[in-house]
Amino acid sequence: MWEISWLAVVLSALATFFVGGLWYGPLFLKSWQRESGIDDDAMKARHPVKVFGGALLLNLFAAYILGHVLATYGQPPAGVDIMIAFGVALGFIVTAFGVNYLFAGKSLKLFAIDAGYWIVTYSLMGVIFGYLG
Amino acid sequence: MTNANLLAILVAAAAGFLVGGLWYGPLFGKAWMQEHGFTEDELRGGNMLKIYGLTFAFSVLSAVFLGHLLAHFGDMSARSTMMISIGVALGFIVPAIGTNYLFSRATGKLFAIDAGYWIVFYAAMGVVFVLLGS
Repeated sequence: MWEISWLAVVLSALATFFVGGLWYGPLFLKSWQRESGIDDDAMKARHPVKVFGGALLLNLFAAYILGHVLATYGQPPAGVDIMIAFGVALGFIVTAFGVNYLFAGKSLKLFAIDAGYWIVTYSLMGVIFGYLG
Repeated sequence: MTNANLLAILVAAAAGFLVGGLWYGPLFGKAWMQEHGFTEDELRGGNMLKIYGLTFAFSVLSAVFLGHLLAHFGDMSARSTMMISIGVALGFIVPAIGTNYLFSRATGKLFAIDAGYWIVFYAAMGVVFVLLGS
């Protein structure tokens, strides 16, 4: 159950950036900036190496743990991998974000953008693990 | 694997909820407000029934998914149940929160408070599933 395709782990981690580039780019960047109150100047003030490097490490780790969970199910059909990955995002990540955002008084729209991002990202990771093992 | 223990699920959700009361209360309430820049008046302005009601609903949902995942592994030692519960928080929730906080420039301290909360929350749920069965 620790036999995980490293190619799938790396591709899954990269998938988070790929979806992120679209999601927090052409799709929802303007709404996200408005809802989170992060203007263009604040965006520029971010340290890109720290932000992208940190995110890459975090997502490599998450992809590795996802691969591990999927491997415990043996060799399920790709559809099952996608369902499990989707379930992880919905059952664990979205619920956690929901609680944090409620208490922090963040808007429903920001929650929808950020929660939706993880659902789409994990579904794509499920597709990658489903087809690469 | 779908035979989830409903009592354990409800108690697990309640346990996580209680941890939250301590974590964002006496333990780190002040630090959390400081990092967000909230005042007590602002917090009182929120609709508490909605916030606590939805939080409990989210907690039950996460307990359902955790119970379901644990049941998939069948009979396990207490150690394995704890490792899986904490692993879910550490492997999925913490990286997701970390990524969002990095991009929205939240402080490391706020990340530590919020990420730490989920680790303790899931550990508490793990304890309940160990005691009551998943």
